[in-house]
Amino acid sequence: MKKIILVFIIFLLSGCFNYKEVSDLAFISGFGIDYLNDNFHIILEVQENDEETSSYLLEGSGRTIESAIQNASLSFNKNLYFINLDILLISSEAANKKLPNILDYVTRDNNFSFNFNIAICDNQKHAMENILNKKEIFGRYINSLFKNTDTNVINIKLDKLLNHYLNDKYDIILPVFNIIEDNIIINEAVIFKNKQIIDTLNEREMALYNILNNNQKDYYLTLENNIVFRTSHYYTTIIFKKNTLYIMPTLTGTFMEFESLELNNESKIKEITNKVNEEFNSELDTFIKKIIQNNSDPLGFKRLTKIKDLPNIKYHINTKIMLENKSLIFKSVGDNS
Amino acid sequence: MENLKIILTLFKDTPDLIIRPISKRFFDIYVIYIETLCSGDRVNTYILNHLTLPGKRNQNIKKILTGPNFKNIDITEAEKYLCLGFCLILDGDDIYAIETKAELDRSIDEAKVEPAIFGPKDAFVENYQKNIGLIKRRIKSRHLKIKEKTLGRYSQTTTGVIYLDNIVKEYLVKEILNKLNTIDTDSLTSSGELKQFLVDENKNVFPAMKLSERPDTIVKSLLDGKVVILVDNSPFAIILPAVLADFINPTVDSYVNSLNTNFLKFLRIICFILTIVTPAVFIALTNYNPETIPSELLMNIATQRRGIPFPAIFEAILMLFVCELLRESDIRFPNAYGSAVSLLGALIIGESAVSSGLVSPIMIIVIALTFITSLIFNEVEINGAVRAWRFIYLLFASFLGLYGLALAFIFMLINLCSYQVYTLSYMFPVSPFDLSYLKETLIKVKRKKQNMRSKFLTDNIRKQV
Repeated sequence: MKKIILVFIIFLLSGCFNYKEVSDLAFISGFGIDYLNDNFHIILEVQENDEETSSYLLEGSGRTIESAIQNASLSFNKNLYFINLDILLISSEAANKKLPNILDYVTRDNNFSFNFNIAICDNQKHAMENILNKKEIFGRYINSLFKNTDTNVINIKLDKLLNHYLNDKYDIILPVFNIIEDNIIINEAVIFKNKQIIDTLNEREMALYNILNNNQKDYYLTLENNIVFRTSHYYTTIIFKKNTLYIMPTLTGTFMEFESLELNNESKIKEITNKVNEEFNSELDTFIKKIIQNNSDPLGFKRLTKIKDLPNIKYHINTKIMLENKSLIFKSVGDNS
Repeated sequence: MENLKIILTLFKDTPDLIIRPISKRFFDIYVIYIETLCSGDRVNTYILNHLTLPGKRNQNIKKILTGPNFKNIDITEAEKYLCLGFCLILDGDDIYAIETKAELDRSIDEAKVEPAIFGPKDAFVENYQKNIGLIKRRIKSRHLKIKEKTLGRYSQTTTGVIYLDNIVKEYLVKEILNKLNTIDTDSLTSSGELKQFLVDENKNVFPAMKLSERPDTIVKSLLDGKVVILVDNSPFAIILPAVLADFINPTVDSYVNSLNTNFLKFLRIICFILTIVTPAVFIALTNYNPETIPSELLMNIATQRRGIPFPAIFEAILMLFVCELLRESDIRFPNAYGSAVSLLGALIIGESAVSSGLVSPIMIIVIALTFITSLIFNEVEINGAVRAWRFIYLLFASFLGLYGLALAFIFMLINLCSYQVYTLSYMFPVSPFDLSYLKETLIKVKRKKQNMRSKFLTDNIRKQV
């Protein structure tokens, strides 16, 4: 009996230390942070599961992120819960000036998970309202955008960002949200140098970044005569040997569209494949040059080469394009015709 | 006459005691029996017909009486034999007892508690001799031994300890007989009652022995090196020792294809775990670690819980309590009322509880899963143990979340591993590991590979397949 009483006393004294009632929690799906006039302006998307509203927004300002959140939740009857956060939007101003504070805050607060996406967006309220008007939850909608392998969005989550941010031999890269004709499009990414934004990557460059990072998104290349080569999968090896950086992407794919390709002519197919190789090589070369000239290193070349200044680096690109077996369908169709 | 007087004194106020005097040449003989225990036809056929025939009247009783069981007894045994359904014949100073027992038991019926689709259909009945017969029909060997004891001062219940002497470990039989010798009770009416004398009840909620109504299960246990106890007037035999794996895997598995059976065995283990931990895991995840639940599901749970005035733990305990009530009333009520109770239960725990705002729909699913998974065990004792552990897990999870769940799991593991049933660990054959018994219970292998008995149960480990 004494043992049972003791167990009960231990339970009553030490139990329920982080008890939460799910119906008392406000699940935050989207979180935007802006920095203006020495003040943080935050915007929170609270998920709702009503038939009428999918979610609603809370706004607040303060000298610190915490005070801004406190101000936002002043008139709110539930506890803000960030564990299910899908997207953290940071304005370019906040990214340039207060990125260390933001990362420090979300890492320190154990209410945050490490599994949300981070992106740059300057018009956060507009972006969120845009999706809310479509009766969709902003965070989940953006999550599905990131998961879509048809687009070449760069997908950066907190753990990866922290990993690169805390490493001297890496520079960070973040995707950018743009609103074009009331549609959210992630068609750019910003690269940082010494924790400051220095340049922007376009959609084609984002695709190349994904190839070099083996992110397995779809990549296509359009040649003259409207011949389209599309990858099904790719693998890139980067090694540093004899003071030279060897970048060796292997792309496996197929021709999706063609106008003047002679299907039964193997040498012609070979020729086109070589053309793809050349085009890709030159595109990749331009991209690498851009990165190197900026002395920004989102790909971790400094870690591989142990060279501090990227402009001095020697590199060699060796691309291998492989046609998938199912491309032989061209040949068989050609033979029959 | 002296003997008659003693019997009359012993059975004073026994209206069903029949005393029939039959006159012989110089004195009367008395035919005495208890009407309610004896068959009138047998008394007539075996005794009265012979004694009253004119030609035989003066012959020696031993020569003229028929009947398969004929004994010359002492006056001190008269009470016992009369109560056993014997007919006593007082011939001067001699007392003869002839078995004229009436058939008071039912015929052999189908197994109701442990049904098998392809196994034998017969099951034990209340008649001890018939039960022994059912076993002996399946084991035709001189090695099958039965040691009988009479237990209960008033009930005088015959209890048989059955084993195969060339397979069983001797110390096990000795230990069981020693325990039986220490029993001094007024009455013993069933094997369930005897079970409580054989094991220390306060030690663990899990049962240390298994009850079975199937003769084939009993035979298999005997061949594994276990001991079986049969109690008169009880249609269940006790198998001991029994470990957790025996309850999860019934013998009827041996009648089905091994590959299909393995899936079922795996399913049963999953069910055993689920029935204990489901409500506790739900409470721990929703109240302490909601981050582990996908956000869409979590949102649904939160929406469903909106408007429920009680915390989730109270909701769970309330629903478990209602379900236990329903189960108990379903068992206790006569079958005719059964459907009404089920209907009422479905109404209470289904639509009404949700619409009245007492519980959330997700909790109904959690509790339903808990109870559906518990239905795979037909043993009442194991269900009781599972219920007790379910509440312990729930208590730990409600105070400490997943950490509490881990603590409860460790607590249960220690409890099960340290539980000894007649020198066998309750987690046997997992701990201590024994492949041959594992093949008998937790997994099923090809029959040809099942060629060993467990060395923990027998010294005669080689078996023919």
